[in-house]
Amino acid sequence: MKSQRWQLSKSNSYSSSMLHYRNPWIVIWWSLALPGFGHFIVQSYLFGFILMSFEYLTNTMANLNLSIYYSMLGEFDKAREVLDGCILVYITVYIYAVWDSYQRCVSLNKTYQLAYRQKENIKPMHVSTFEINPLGKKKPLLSLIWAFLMPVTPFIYSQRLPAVVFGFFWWSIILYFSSLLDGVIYTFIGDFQQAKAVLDPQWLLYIPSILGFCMFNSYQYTVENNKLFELAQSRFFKENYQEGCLNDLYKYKQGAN
Amino acid sequence: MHIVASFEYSTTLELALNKLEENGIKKGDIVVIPLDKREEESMVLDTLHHSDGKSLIDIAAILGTIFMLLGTIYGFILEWGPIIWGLIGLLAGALLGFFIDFFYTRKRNKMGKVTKEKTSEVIMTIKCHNNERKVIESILWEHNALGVGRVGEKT
Repeated sequence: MKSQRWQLSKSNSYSSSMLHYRNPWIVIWWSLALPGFGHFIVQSYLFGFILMSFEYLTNTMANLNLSIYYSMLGEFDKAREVLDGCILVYITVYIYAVWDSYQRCVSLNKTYQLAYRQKENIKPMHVSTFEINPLGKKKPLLSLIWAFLMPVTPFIYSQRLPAVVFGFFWWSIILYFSSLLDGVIYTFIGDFQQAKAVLDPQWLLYIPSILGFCMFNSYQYTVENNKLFELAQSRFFKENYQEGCLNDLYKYKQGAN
Repeated sequence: MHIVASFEYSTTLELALNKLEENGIKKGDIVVIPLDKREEESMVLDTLHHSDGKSLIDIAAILGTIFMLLGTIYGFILEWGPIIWGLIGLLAGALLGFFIDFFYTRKRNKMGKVTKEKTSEVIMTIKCHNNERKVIESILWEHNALGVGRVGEKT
């Protein structure tokens, strides 16, 4: 068999990547929400991890979230006071991340069309001594719900080990410094004042983006995973189970003519 | 005679084929026809104005995040605190986004059809003798066939 010029998907036992159509505007939006998310959607995981780490570090050093928080409460003097000078380097990388994820998305969409038309066979299973990764149907709604309960778990569901390692690392740091879980406990026993006192806005403001993104991405990924499974199976049937002949089905009517 | 069955795409379907072949049905007597969905074609051709079921969550996720952010911030000065207002924001934003997407997508999609979850996606036909019918049909039903039919039972 001649070698394939373009590839629709590439998997190994612990991670998978696949091409599918992605809306560039959605990629831009998620890059704006948190630099690195856009790269994560277009499956440039390593660049995504680097940009996300950069975001968490410089945003925290510059107190950007805190400054946003004061600005929105109308306390502009405080907002000016807490903001550090290293916001300048943040701005450059922020804009670059948006542009870069956009152009990656557009070029991937073109590549996707070429790869789709090439009709290669998709290998549905990958095994190593550490992991097994069979291509199979997964439930999008289930991974959405798990993402809400614990943002990293859907990456286990969809067999993306690098994202799991990276996600657990930062998610535990953010959980710790934001005191989110203490806040949840105080909120649920009705002690709202205490909840406000323990929660740290600088770290807490990361969480809506992370939660929203993980829910979106895990849902979308599961849907696309299912589409890829169907495509692979469809191609398998067309190649292997269409040698038979259906003419017998029609012979009575032909005889009657 | 021929037995015809319809399935969804699944790993179970391939198990059914293995089981049939184990029971002595020859590969040449089985024809499997995967039905292409209309959206798959248009997905490749019409990339700029693409819309399918999954886009229902695009705006929901965006508005959910924005509203959750706002809820978290103003929760610090509102009665119930950031956690509850954050969750209220998430729910309100996601619902709003879902409805916007739902009506907007519906408007754009002239057919107005929302793909149902359970649809026949694969048709399988098996050429066999009458005495094999029971075994084959039970294998098909055991492997989640959506429907099973017969043609030309007399022969």
